[in-house]
Amino acid sequence: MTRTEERLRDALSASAARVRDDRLRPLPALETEPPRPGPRRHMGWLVPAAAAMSVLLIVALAVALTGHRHDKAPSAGYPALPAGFPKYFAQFGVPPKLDVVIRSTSTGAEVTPAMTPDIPGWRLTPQSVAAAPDGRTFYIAYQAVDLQKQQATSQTWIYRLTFTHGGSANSMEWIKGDPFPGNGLLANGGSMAVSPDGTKLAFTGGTQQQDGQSWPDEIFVVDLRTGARSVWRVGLSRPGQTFTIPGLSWTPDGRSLIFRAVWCRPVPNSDVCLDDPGQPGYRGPQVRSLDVETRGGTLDHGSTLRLSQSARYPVIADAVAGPGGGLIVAVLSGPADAASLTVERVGASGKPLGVLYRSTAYGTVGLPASVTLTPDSTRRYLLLTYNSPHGLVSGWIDHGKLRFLPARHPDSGLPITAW
Amino acid sequence: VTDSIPPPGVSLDAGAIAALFRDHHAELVRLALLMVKDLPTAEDVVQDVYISLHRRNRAQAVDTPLPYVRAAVLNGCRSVLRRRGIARRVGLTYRAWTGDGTTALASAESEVILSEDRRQVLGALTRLPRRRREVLVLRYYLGLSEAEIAAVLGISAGTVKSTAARALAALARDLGEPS
Repeated sequence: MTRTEERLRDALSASAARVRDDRLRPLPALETEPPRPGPRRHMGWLVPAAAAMSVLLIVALAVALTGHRHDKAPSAGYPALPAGFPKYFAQFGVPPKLDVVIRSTSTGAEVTPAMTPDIPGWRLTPQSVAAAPDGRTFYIAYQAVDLQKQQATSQTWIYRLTFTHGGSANSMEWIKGDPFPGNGLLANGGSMAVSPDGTKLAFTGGTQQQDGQSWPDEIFVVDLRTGARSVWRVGLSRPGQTFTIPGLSWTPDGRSLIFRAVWCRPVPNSDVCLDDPGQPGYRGPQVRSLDVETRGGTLDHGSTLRLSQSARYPVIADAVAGPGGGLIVAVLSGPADAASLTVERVGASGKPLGVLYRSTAYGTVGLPASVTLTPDSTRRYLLLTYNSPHGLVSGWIDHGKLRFLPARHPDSGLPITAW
Repeated sequence: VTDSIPPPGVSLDAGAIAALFRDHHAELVRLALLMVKDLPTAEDVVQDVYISLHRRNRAQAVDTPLPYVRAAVLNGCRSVLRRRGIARRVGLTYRAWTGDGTTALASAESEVILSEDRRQVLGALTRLPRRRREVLVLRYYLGLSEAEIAAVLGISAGTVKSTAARALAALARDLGEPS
């Protein structure tokens, strides 16, 4: 072997050694067994074929009517995204078409639809979406209402959506352990998150109480391989208020969940529950962590308080697990009509570690429920969504600035829910 | 680690594809990394191939699944490099949020592992034409024979031999060594 060959072999081996087996992003959890009987599979090829035919017809019609070809339209010109940036995000469709849609993060174009399963005798409405660490698998929770028994017996059905690159084909499969207790009338949209190793799914939901009046949220953790579930319920309720968990996320080690506990005032005879700072009796939300190794129990004993309302954190609008055992919190401060929004890192001891993003353009619409932080499945990028006076803002935080994702398509005026 | 790989001529079902990738996931990512030079993209390339094979069951028709998968990964890398070439030409740049320090950590590890000498060799490798680079990576990283490289790249063994010789000579010249 020549000196060149020796040096080449050594350099290639050293370069390849940068890849550690234990740090590889897991491959998508695709089914290797025959699918369970369920809703029919989506015929993914029909959509692009129909779209291509439509385009051809439109072009032919335009040429026939105008007698000449149109100039090529300029490209959208979205900036290039970093290597390893999430390729896809999920978004709900605009009512009445509530199907979840997967879009490209670079262009905003629809990649594949997750058609709401058509199950005779049931009405399904998508509630939450979560992305798996592979970035190519999404879990979608539907509120399933038995049309014969009506609202009182709703359930949560969770499906796994997988699709090929480009979305030429997709499939929807039930996850093991389905169905789960359904959300109640005060459903807040729920929340779901996949563990960093892709083996567990955590989500919030409510079980109807015996009195039929209260619907305190619970946390479920389901082992996606076996269907085994753990549930943490009750223990944090307060008289006269409704307890909700509007968001949860996994810590990087996959041992705990970070969730925001909110007590809100139900509006009589309506589905609305107000989380309104400044109102008499308002008590700010808490950020708590839940040790999933406890495998179920009550929320007061299973969880520990991490952060609560204070002069520094007057209104905690959202919080997710951060690096090193810390948190990343979105905080509102200032008068209600001119609030500022700050996203900052907080250490494991509660010590502020620095501001990631600050905006003084926060609107008053939907305070503070309209603020959501969503880490991507690799935990390298953080999505921030909020209502500004100019409308919905969705972007990822990049060195103190918000980089918008191309989600302002006329048919996509709803927040990004997972990526 | 090759127990789960079916012998030539045996069709691959979904389970066999999953087993093949489970056993060779890291190797395929490393192969892609040597071509595209950043880990997240290398993982993306392998993931794309995995899903594509799983959904279309293309591997059912091939006699040699592992070379087929390696070829698919190399194809994916070529697509990435083509896209990057276009991005460079229109002046687009990459930036990332490094709030958790992931990127910084990866860079620090790279600095330790890759000495100046190794970076020089890899730089010279990058400057080779694509076909020559692929032949050298398959030969000197995966240790494949000329016949095996021929199967992956879809060329004759003779072409592999001549391409490797020319690639090594060009590499030696670039590194200032006698070939």
